[in-house]
Amino acid sequence: MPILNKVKAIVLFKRLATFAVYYLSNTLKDLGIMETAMLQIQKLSFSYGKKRMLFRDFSLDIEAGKVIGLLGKNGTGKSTLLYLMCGLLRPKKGSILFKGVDVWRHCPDLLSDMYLLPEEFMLPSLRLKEFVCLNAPFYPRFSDEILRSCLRDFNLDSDIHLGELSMGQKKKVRMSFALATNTRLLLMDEPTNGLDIPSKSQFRKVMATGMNDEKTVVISTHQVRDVDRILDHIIVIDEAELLLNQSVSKVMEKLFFAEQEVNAPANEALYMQPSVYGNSVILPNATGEDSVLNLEILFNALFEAREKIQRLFNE
Amino acid sequence: MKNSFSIMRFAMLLRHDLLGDWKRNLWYFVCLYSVMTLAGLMFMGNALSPSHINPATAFHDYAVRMFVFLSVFVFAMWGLALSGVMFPANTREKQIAYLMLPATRAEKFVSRLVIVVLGPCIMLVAAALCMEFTRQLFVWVSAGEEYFSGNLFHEIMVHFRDNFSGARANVSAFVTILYAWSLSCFLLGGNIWHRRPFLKTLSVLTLFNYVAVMTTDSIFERNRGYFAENLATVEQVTVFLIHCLQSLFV
Repeated sequence: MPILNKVKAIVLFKRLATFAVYYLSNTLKDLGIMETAMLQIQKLSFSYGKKRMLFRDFSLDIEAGKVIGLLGKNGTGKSTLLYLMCGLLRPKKGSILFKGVDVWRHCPDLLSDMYLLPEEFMLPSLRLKEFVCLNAPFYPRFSDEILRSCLRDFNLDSDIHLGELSMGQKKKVRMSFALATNTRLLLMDEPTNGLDIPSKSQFRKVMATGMNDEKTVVISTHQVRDVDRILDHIIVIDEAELLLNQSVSKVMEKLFFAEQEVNAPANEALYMQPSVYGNSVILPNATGEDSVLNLEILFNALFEAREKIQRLFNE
Repeated sequence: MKNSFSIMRFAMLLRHDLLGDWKRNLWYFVCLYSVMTLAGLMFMGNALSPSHINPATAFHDYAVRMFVFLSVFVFAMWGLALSGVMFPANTREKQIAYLMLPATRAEKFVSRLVIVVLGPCIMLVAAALCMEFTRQLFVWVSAGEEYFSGNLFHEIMVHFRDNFSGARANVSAFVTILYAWSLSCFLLGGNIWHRRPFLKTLSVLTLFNYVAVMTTDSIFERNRGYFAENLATVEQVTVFLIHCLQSLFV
């Protein structure tokens, strides 16, 4: 009997301790004292089969409430990283934690709080209402209102048959559904591929209206012009290396984007490339002046003048 | 949200799988019903032809033919359904969508298992009842009432009881085990091959059976004396095979 009491006491103590740790960490998070990332990638190593390593000891923290642009050249592993983030692929080494839980565990709790919009997908041959009726119950925070609003923004009727839509329209429907799920993490792989020019601006509007402080959207794309106005944070990867991981405000604080005439002096320019007006240049932002982010030139600069740019951010 | 097995989520998943693919399920049922009905009417027409008709045994002969046909047909259709166990994940896009669905792996697997094991059972029973109803309607309309107005499934059961019970119980048990084993191969095939799993499994099963028959034949040929003495009847062969199977596991 005394042994049983001892075991009971230990169990009770463990439960109390767990509760105390949980309560304390939540209080610290609420007070903003303890900053925790929504998604943590820790020392990730990954390769397809026995091919060369796509990621080696790759670490990255993704904070909540931001629209993050995941940029990189073709074949650098952007989509792979997205699939790793949602647990579709298993890391060879390291771990990926979403809300502190390993994504590879495929817990329904985690899956109902993340949504992946792949570049290519299939929609069943159903009416939209039926599709929503079958899929929405899996997402506890699904909002019909957001769905209707997004469809309206995309100029789509809510009474449509998914089998009769074009690829671009299907993408818009899937995007609207993804935003309506209200998941904390939304992963989008090349969302603007297949969209026409008006739809790309509609996409930016939908993204802006569908965002809130709890939501994090990771957009993997190489079409930087489509997303440059909606991003809060930029991540550029190349050969499994993190070339840039900065907020847009930090980028604008450090860099000045300008257009110059061909003959204008460019001694201070960190990077320069020809444009229709003359030259597009990136200069160090010494005066804290505002400029318009040119993601395309920044992307090119990171490959051509990597050290100069990185040095500026490390200062 | 519960991360262990949840009945609610499981029900949602079943609904998602069944209704999300209702056209395929409907086609499956229509195919079952139409082929069974067509075969039922054709065999009846054949039995009714003046050269074959024997009033005393016409219905029984018809039931036996239908029994043989249904055994093969049900095997093929059930195999087809079982090989589609991974149908919601047979392309990369569908695989991603299915894996990202918020449910546990166990819930997803059990849901698929229920759909491919119980689903065809229910559809087969429903299609068989519809077929029998259509047949009775046809018999009533045509002149075959005299011979074929009896209950087909009752007649099949009587035939089964008379031929596969008592002394032949071992044979029926062995055939049932083989039937179930072969069907389970389709389930395995469906997990291995995501494209054309039915045809691939059927090919492998046919090849395997061919090799097994050839090997057995060769063994029998070499030990003709022993087998002639100890395995003269079907029952003896069956008991021998069951003992062989037992020795593999015990």
